[in-house]
Amino acid sequence: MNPSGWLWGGALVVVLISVYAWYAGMVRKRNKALQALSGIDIQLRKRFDLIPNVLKIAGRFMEHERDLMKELTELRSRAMEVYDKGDPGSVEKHLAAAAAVQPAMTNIFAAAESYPELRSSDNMLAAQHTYTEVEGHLAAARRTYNATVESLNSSIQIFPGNLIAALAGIKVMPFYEESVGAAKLPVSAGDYLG
Amino acid sequence: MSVHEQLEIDRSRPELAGFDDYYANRISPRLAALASEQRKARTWAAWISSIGLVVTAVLIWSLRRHYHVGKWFEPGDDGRPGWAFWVTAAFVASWLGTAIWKLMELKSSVKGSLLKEVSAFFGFEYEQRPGSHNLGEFSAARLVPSYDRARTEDRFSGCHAGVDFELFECFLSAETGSDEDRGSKQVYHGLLFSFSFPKAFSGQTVVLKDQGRMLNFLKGWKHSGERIKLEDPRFEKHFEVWGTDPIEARYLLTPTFMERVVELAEAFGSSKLELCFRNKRLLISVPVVRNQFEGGGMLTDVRSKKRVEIIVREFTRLFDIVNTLKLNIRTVV
Repeated sequence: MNPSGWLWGGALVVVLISVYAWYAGMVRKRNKALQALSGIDIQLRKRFDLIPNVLKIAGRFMEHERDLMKELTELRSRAMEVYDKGDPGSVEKHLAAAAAVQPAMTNIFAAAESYPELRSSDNMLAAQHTYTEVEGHLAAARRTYNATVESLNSSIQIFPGNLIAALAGIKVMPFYEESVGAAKLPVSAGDYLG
Repeated sequence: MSVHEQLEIDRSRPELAGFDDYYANRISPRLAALASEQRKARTWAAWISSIGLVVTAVLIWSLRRHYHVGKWFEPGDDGRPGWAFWVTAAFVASWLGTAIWKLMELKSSVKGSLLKEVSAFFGFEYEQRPGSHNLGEFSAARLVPSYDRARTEDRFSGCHAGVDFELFECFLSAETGSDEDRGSKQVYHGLLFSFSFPKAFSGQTVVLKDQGRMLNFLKGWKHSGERIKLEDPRFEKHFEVWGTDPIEARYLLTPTFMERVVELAEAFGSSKLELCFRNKRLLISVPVVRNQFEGGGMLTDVRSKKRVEIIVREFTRLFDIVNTLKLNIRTVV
């Protein structure tokens, strides 16, 4: 082989190694994002397990808040639907449904403030405390997931990542955004301080 | 206490409310009692030193006069003084050493009394020589470098603003050189704090001082877990985080808590503040240059209010950590 042949061959090897390294990096980042998504699901599971207990405690006192409780039950069922982790659209839908539960849950606790008996109930206080704890863990899981998604999406969207991702079928993943309703809710110091 | 004798302490601090009265009623009388011991010790040390010098001088004079021992003092071929010179030097040193030992003994006693009294005001317990059994957690968390010899002193423990704590001063040294050129150098001197933390956690999260890419890498690989990049750019500029569980690390290091850690690091200036969440405790290492909680030397008057002012200032570091990090409040965001 002549010298220019060696040169082209060498360049091709370098390009192939770089492409593979980029591809391996993307796969690693996708796996990390999926792992972080599982972390969110673990925390969501805790939140969902808590909801029936809260509704059971609140149901005895909050006769006039039936609509609120029904809405929460529906949102919980929707968020608990099985989804495809490999499909970004399905993940986005799942995360949006999960995010919608938080303002409904906060509404229930806010409404409970109007019922003195419920407000002073030990069970309700314990549920509120557990909810705050779960929300703390969920916020941490959300930050972890968003950090991994940011890293994955950057590697996919920056050239030549977009070409490699298209060939390998790796897609950008959605961020887990706080629901608009939750962001607009009035801030209560008690929600943030244990 | 007259206006002129007032302590120079930060009276805006709620922790120091009533300290002036406590100083006047408890500490000042105790220091006055110690002052008479100081006078006696200083006189005794001065006498011992003088007698030592006079005895040595008379001994040399008479030996030289009657036994002509001058040549034993003269330098040999190698230019070093004769053996009699060294015997005399050792003799003088032993007298002076005895005097210094007496003063050091008093210094230790004064320091112990003073720290005990000031600790009692804050409701803390004090141990002058605590041993190194408390060092294990900090060593396991790698907040202190590896060492061959450890010395700890001035351990305080108790509860401040509902937060259990332990604090002690630590000196670590490591052996250097080979068999023939063996030595020892100090590798760490600092204050080590251990606090109860209001959140439950099971893994380990270490917050290290950012020291540039290369040093971070060299220091970081020793820590268990992975490097966790956090969202706060100010925090990331000061620190880098290693942890066994990234979700737990973010649960502990909330955006608000990160702001507080940065605030604390900036308040402590250039000192290399480092933290670790481990075994349900928050461990903090603050390297220092000057020996802490010493209470001054024995050549100045033991009643000097400066001694108390310095100790009180040294205690405020503890209060600053608890208050700035708000360790008594469980932050969710």
